[in-house]
Amino acid sequence: MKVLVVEDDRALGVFLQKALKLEGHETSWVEDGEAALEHVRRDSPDLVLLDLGLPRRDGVEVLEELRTLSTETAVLVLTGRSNVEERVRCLNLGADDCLLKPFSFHELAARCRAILRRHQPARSAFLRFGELEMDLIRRKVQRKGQTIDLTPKEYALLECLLQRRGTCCSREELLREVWHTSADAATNVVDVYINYLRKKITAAAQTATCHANLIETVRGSGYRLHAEPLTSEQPKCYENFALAPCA
Amino acid sequence: MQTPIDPDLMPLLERALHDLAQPMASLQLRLEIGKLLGDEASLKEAVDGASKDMERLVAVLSRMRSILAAASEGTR
Repeated sequence: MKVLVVEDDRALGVFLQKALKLEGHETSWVEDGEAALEHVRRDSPDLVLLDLGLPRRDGVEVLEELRTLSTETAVLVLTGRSNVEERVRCLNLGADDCLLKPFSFHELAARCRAILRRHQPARSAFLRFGELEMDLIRRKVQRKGQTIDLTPKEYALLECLLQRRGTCCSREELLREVWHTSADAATNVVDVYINYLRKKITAAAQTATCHANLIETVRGSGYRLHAEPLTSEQPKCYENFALAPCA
Repeated sequence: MQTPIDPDLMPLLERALHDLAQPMASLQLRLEIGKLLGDEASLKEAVDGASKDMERLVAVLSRMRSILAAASEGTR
């Protein structure tokens, strides 16, 4: 999802972006109300995280104008102001939710998910591949109804592969999209996490079958989900496979 | 028996609360994200940043003490 952070406090702005990226969102950040409205007109984000104490234009004014521009864009107000009346006013002006500072990353993430769940049409909520199903709103992965417990990075990696299933994702691309790291970084983290994913997906299988090709290594290129997934009914082959890194 | 708050102090207190909330919010996010990522670089970044947030918090605390001291002088 595209999320716009409107926050004049630099340290907080940086960490809000980081938090949202960890949740897999594409984020932008502006530091004042005018820039926020300009960005919304140009980019139509799915969600705006809006601080109230902004320079140039107060957050409440921004909220009022934002609602005349778009009813599709969700708004989560972040405020350090303690009076209830102001939060009620924001909700009455069309904010989807309010969060009082300071707040936990986990609560922020859960409120963003809850808001986006209400705003997103059901048809875009799932990615499916063979027996795998990824719920994008609840951020859950299941294989034949059994939940696969993934860390945030494993989830982000699998989502990346699912979005491009059948197409090869280079190691550099995965480093950039999942770890937000330059491709120059000398690291085998992609290989390591592909291995983790393979093991967890295999462990979720109800019968012992080969899933080495579910995430296929493309020599010299990267990884991809196999265009025709193997199911539990296909013949057993190697249970233990060596991860072959790209040349 | 509670001492009523001077109404002139209210906007100053409101401002101070807001100024406390900002670095506390970034402090909390830094530490939670550092813990979530768990690698040494992220933890170090979280701790280094937390020190900067603490400096901001201490500055606000000092300002609040000055406000209260000035208010106390005014009531003598």
